[in-house]
This record gives sequence, C-alpha cells and structure tokens, in this order.
Amino acid sequence: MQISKEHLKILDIIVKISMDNASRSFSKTIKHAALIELVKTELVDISVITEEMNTDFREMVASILRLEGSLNGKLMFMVPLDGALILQDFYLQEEPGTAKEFDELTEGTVQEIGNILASAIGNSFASGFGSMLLPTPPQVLCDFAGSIFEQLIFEECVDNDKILLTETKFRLSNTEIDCYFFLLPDLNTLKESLDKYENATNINTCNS
Amino acid sequence: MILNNNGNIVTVGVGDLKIAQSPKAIKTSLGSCVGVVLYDSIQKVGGMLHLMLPNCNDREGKPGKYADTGIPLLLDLMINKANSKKNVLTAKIFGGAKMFSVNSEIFDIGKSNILETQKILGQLGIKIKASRLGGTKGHQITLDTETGIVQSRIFGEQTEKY
Repeated sequence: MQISKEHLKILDIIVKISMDNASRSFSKTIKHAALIELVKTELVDISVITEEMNTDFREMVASILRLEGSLNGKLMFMVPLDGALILQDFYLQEEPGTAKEFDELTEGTVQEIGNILASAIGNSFASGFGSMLLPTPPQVLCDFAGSIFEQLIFEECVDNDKILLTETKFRLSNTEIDCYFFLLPDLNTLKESLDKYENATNINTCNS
Repeated sequence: MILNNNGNIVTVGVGDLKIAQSPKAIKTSLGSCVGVVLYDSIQKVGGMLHLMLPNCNDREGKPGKYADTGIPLLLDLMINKANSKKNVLTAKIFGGAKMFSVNSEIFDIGKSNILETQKILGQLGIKIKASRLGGTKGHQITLDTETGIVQSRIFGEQTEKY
C-alpha cells in the first residue's frame, strides 16, 4: 500500500475541512455544540490500531456506511451506549434523561447522525475533488468497541497490514460524551482522485 | 479511546499474537475473528492469537492474520520462547461471530475461521479444552495466566469462565 507524503498532506487538509463541515451539520442536527477535539489522518498498522481499540471495553453503538462514486470508502460514526441515549434526547428535543434504554429510536438517531455526517463529508470531498460521492444506507451495530472496529476494517485487512485511516473525536459541549468518526478511504480510488486534484491545482496555478 | 491497559494486562490486536507469564493477563475483543488461547499450567504461561482468516493462500503480510500460519507460530513461540512442553499445552478458542446478517461470503468468515482453527489444532495434536463460538455478537476474552481461566463476555450476556 503506497501513498505519498504530498497526497497525505492534501488528504489531511480536505479531511479537516470536511470534519469542520460535518461538525456544523452534527451540531445543527442535535441542536447542541459538537466540538472537534482531534482529527488525524495516518497510515496505521492493523495490529497496533486494533490493540488500541481492544483496550476500550465500552459498549458502543455505531453506524457504518459506504461512500461510492469516484472515491470509494467506508465511514463509521461511533458513540458509547450511554452517550447514544443522551444524543437521542438532544435529537428528539426531549428533556435530558428521557431516553432510558437502547431501542429503535436510539438506533434511528445514530443512523440519522451517521447519514448526516456522511453527507457532509461526501459533499466536502465531492467539492474538493469535483466529483459525485454518495453514501449507502447505514448499518447499525451495537457491540464492543473493538468488535465493531474489527468489522469496519476487516475487508481492507485481508490484503493489507496497514490501512489509511482518519479519526475524528467530537466532544458534546457541557457533557462527558465523546463521539468518534472514522473514514477509511479506498487507496486506489483515493490515489486517482488526488492525482486529478493535484493536476487541476497545478493547471490553475500555471494559468494564474 | 479509553485505555484500560496497565502493567499487568497485555492486549492483542488483529493479526497479532502475544505470550505472557503469571501474574499478567492477556485480552482481546473479537468479532468474526477467532481468538486462540494456548496455556501451559506448569509454567503458568499463556499465549493468545487473534486470527482473522482461515488460510494464508500464499498471501504476504502478517502470519498471525491466518489460522494456518498463525496457530503454528503461536505454538512455536510457546515451545521455543516460553520453553513450554507441547504435551502440557491446552487450547481454548473463542469468537467467530457473524456480525452482519447479510448473505455475503466475507461476513460469514467466522464459521470458516472456527472450522480451520479446530482442524489445525487437531493436526498439531493440541487438545481444545473449552470454546465459546459463533453467534452474532462480539466477544471479549481475558486470559488469567495464573489460573489459565479465560473470562469470556459476549455483548448483552453474562461473563462466563472457561
């Protein structure tokens, strides 16, 4: 698996812009400020990243989607189970503490937030790369953090020991809730899109 | 993420294998992957492999990702690094869930992982002493190298000891 440092830098910038847009859409959806605490894009060893995930024994709810178009990839929004209940109250504009246990409303909330984040990121990538990107319907998983993450990266790990991963951590203001967002771009289509982006930028620079 | 690691807990990631001696514990979380635990009750040494596919099929990369290359490697570590005698080693296996309810071969890999793991341990002459396999939810397992007991927790179920 190869990605140049220049491409990694471009991707990092696009991801940061995307996450900024995503955080605004997220805040608007839940009518509560979602602050970005961390955004990182790196090529990671599958054993190292999953070891980190496997130290987290929390129960999580996650919404997994695929991005399809000129750039393929997978997206995952993940929140601790207790945090998902608070998110549900925010989303449905109920008094905090109304949602008591995980049910179809919680699942729907996580699914919807996954959709909104994926659309915001898809739009940012599409305008960055000048191409169409569409998210697939989300699949919701309720399980341990490590088990969910294993499913996210499974296909990429079959032929690779390293994966390109962007991780964003949101903190909901005035709460203790951390939400995680992962983007796993397909390297082949990413390279094509970044090459096109680089060429277009070079042409624009030459013309100006 | 929240790190629960401390000096006495060794965590194993996907495609990786680790050995540890009492008083350490070894743990991992599994989805469709299978966790293979080998234990030497004489020396109180344990090893854990987190495999994700049944066969290597000449693929390059981490041997610990595959049952057919990872299990012999774990056995080799136990014998040559931990100085365990093969005849005292016992195996316990966990995981192999079908996490997504779709008719896709790649998501039904848990069952293939289980079958290949059982086959290879049999070929190597290692007795499977306990197992908790399959289902549709993730597993968390922790091996106590002092006792050889594996605590197995399936999402939404009680923790059980094997």
